[in-house]
Amino acid sequence: MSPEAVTPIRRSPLESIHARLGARWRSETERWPVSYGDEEDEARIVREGIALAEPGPYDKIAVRGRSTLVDLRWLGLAAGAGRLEPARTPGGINAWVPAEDEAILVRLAGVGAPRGRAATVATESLAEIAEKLRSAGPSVTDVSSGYTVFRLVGPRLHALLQELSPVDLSARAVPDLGIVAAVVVGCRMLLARRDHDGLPGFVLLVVRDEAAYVWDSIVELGATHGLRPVGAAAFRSPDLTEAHGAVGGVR
Amino acid sequence: MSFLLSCPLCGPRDVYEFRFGGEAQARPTPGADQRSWGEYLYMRTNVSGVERAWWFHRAGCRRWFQAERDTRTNTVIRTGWAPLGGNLPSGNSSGSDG
Amino acid sequence: MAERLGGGGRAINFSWNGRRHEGRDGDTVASALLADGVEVLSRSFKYHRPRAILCDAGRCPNCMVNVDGIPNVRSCVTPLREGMDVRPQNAWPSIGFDVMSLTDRFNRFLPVGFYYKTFIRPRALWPLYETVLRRAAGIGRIDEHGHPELHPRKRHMFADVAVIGGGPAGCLAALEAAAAGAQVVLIDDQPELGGHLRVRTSEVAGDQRLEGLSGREAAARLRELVAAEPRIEHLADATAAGLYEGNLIGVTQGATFVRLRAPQIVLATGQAERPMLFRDNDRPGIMLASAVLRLVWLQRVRPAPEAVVLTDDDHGWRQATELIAAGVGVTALVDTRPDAAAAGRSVPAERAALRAAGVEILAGARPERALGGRHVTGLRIHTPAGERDLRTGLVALAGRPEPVLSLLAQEGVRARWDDQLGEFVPGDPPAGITVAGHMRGAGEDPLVLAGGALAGRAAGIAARGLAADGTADRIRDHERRVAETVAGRTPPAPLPRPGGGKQFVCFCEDVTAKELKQGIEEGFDTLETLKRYSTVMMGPCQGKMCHGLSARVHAGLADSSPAVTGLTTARPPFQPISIAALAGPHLSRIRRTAMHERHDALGAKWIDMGDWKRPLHYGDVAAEVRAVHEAVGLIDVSTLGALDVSGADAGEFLDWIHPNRFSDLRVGRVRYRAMLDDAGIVIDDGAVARLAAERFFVSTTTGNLDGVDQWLRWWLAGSQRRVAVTDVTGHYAAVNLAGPRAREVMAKVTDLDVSRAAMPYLAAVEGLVAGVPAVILRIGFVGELGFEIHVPADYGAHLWDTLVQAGRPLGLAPFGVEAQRVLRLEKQHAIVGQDTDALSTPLEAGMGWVVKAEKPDFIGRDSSAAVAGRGPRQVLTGFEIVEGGVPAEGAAIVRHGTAIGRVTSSKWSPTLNRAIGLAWLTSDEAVEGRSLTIRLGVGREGQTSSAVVRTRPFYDPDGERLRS
Repeated sequence: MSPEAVTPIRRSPLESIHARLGARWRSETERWPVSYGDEEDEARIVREGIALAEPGPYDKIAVRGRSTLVDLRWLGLAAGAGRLEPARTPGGINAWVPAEDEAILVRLAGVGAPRGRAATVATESLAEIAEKLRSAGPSVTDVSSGYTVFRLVGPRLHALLQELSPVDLSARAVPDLGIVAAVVVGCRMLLARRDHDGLPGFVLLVVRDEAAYVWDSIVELGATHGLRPVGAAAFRSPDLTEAHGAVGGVR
Repeated sequence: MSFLLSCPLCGPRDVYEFRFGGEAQARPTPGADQRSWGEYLYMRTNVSGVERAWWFHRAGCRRWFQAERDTRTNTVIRTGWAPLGGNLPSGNSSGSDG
Repeated sequence: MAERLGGGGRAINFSWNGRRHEGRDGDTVASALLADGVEVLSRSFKYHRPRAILCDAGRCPNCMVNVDGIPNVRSCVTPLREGMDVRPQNAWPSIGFDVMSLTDRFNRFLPVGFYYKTFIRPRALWPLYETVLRRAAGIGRIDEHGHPELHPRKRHMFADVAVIGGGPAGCLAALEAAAAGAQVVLIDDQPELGGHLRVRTSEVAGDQRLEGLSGREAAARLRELVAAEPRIEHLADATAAGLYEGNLIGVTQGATFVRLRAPQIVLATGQAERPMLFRDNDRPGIMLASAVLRLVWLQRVRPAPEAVVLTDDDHGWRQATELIAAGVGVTALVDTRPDAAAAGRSVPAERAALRAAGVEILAGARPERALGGRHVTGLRIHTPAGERDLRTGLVALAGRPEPVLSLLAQEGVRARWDDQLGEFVPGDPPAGITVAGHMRGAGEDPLVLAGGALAGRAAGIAARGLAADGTADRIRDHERRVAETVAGRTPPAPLPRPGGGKQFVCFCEDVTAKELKQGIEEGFDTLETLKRYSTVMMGPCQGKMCHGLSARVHAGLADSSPAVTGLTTARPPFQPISIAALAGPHLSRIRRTAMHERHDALGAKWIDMGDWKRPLHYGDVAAEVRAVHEAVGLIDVSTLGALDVSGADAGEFLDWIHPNRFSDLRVGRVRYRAMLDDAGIVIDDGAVARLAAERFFVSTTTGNLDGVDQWLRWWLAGSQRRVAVTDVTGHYAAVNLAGPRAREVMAKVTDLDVSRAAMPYLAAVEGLVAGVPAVILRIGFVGELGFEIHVPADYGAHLWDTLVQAGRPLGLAPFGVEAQRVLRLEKQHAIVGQDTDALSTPLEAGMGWVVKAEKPDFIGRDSSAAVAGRGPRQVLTGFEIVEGGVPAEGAAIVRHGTAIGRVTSSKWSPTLNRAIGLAWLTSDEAVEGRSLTIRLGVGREGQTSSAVVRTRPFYDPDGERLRS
């Protein structure tokens, strides 16, 4: 018996939220809308308020083992613990390394891949990386659907962060590319500072089943701080993968 | 109670981010009688002075570590990965069967 | 009599007591009412005496009103807004004529602690007493409709140095700390910085930045300097409500509650004038001198053209001068101290100027009583020359101010009585906290300003960890000068023994000096017990107005010294906080599965299981149960916990933490798991699938994942085991496809061989289902042929849609948690946490087979052996109802009047057409066929059902359908 002729597409937990906000996507496989209707306004929000976005989809693998950081260094993917090592090329691998024995490797899924192809557990290169790591010692597990990636950027971000989290997320406490494990709007997550063009910014790895709640809560508390969801076009890049550079996709 | 506790990985955080995991104590050897198990599970030294105890960073890195704290003043003397200062105080080893 | 100063300002309309009034931009509610001729703002708590502005600083209860439905609003610090509906409290039928003011007339029947002595007999009247007293007690009324528009917010801030108090000492401390490179948060409860300087005209001295400026000019200069310093964040209209362990400060700022941590705190909360004792000292028109100055300078309202100033200190002479400079004529200055020259004191510098302004100076005069009923009309004094009545509509109380010590007391630092100064001064603060300015007690300009600056600098240096730079030496010099100044002061005379009549000590609770005397005579002679007996200091002001006064009065009455009696403890909050502000924004975590919208579209009735939203049913539970038994059902089980346990030692580790074995589990097989703690108690169950030699997929119950993850991490902390545990609960979405036609549906959605031979019961297979990578486990909880399918959650909805479409022609129906509970109960499957509790061992819970006693050590081994040795005392077993209603969970099972067990689960089974359940029974009762009597439980007291013990599953007892 053959399976029904369906084309599996990875769905964001926030898809209907984006749709309700008027999202316009360039293609069905991309998670980050191009805009929610007014690209000029969204670009202004990035510069003057706070931009919230859900880029993706990303493939992710969790690496665990005493030699994790050592092995990642050997592969040229990470330099130190407690930091995010951003990808060197568009569509490359971002290495979140909160500690020496733990890492999450994140890579934009299906970059350049044809629409609708059912993905394997990870894209080719992540799968290769996983095998190399396994043979070196650490355990590697696919967690591609386990986290949703959020992006926050804007001059008013620090004031809002004081209301979102009881942890000090100021520039003094968390340097650029620094990783923090903290509770935000009541949910535990990993955050990395990723400033953009002189504007303060963070990338959040949110547990998937909490993503809708986290998004709604940030939007509600952020309203008075000038927060609005923005599409990829707000970051003013002709190529969407360049836009992902604002997410930590590119160094 | 609102003192700061320094997670060895995440640094100083509000104490309510952590879960208190009990005094560090030696685990009964296999085959011990029910009285020994009862004392291990339910009796506490409850020291008035420096206590060494387990803490779990619930709201952060979710790692277990130990802290030495003066229970009279809530002054945290030091924190670190287990075992803090010597042998693992519990039977938490590579398993007594291996 | 009250009059607005200066013209202009936007008019603001509001209503008071239902009538329209007009105020001006910049008014507080109280100043607007004062300017519009409203004489009485409130009625006091016990005696319902008319009250009006006393402190104009939010420290006393006199001006509390109801604004837009919110009770107990301090109108003297609440800015007036357009359309406000302001109403009086605690008065009936009206603020002008309050029936309860009869208590004032008959106060002799209400001695101190009267409620301990009256309302006791006859006991039959207690319900009446309760109703009456409940109505009479309290001040404000809560609006039961709530105020959702208040939108509380919570903010977390971090700084190097926190400065509390925005007067001159606080501002200079903040500036100096910032200059040392520290990040500073400056907290001030006023709309503008400057503190008391804002209402002062005399020249300031002691800091070169402010040299030669008047008080008001200096305040403006300080505001400029602070605004220009980027390292200072200024919180205005912010009250530091609590000082907590670890230098944590709780600040209320409107509807926002701020948690602020700073390794260094500078307290500069200043000082406050206090009331003075004489009969009827609470009449409207008697207010603190600082209140008059605030009204004139900040709200531009002059309460009266002229005032009588009452004092016991040089401070009063300065205030008299300030009143004149503010345009309030001073007809007389009454100083209770004997004449300075005669007493060997230095004459106050202001004497010449006051005489020249026509002020009659009356030294050695004691105020006896206030004249007037609804409003003060004069002050009767006793002078050495005899009794005199001073006619006036405004009495300005300018007694010696007291340091504001509450915040420091919250840190456990007891105030110290200084005999030389005749006041309570701060005790030694703990490390990390410094006290500066007027709060120190020795208050003269140069010392106050210099002290503030030094404290700030020291705090900044300490917070930044910089090297010492001589600041410590300068502080030592400063301390020496403070001590010298103190030594040079003349101690004040102790308070005279209070006479009769109503001399109010506590304005909040209407406690008079006479009542304190009565309390002491009745035996409550320590300040702590006297406080509790008389309720002095226990009102809304929490001692701000009356603490020092109470201590002095008590010391005088008890023939002791305040040094001995001390002050009572202070606890947060310093000012009242609403519960809404403490709670913050209503954020309650919600977790949703990947199929959430599918359930919504199907009309699911939702329940909360922990933080998860799960469908309870889709409208017809019986139909769902039937579908599973007769065709095929589909349930979303994504909420189950899932852990990936991998590594060379994974199998051995699983053997350690479980009572059964997993190291011998073949790849491609799944096995049931139950987990015990060291006491041998069942704490979780689920399944373990071996997907590869060193890779296990472990499922837990929905609610226990967090606990299991913590438990496993503890065992691996510091361990040499080569095991990694990864939480993959969020990564996987999962469904259970169950029913006799499940295999047919599977065959349509996957190329894998799903036949009984290739995928038998307890098989674990990885492969593509609906075109996406999946883990398939042949296990079941509902007793029918089942496939538990786990896919990455981003494909969850897609999997659901594919299965539903494939299954529809075969009669597939989605089923929810309720149907699942019925189905599992038909199979007598226990749910850990529902049917087991903190005393349940596996042997007793019907899972004895899971304990492999012959295994070398595992968690719970010794305890399980002990239980096996003594035999089960009670067992978990099934029952079915023969006659009567369905018992509630927790219902008692009785025999001959004693409980022999309790029901843990109980449902109506549409399949069996009777009620079934699980219960704990004493071992001797758990015999097949035994008849039971079950008390039905709450709401059906006295009713019972009769039931029969059934030790085998009700449906498919041999599990043939499950294994098909």
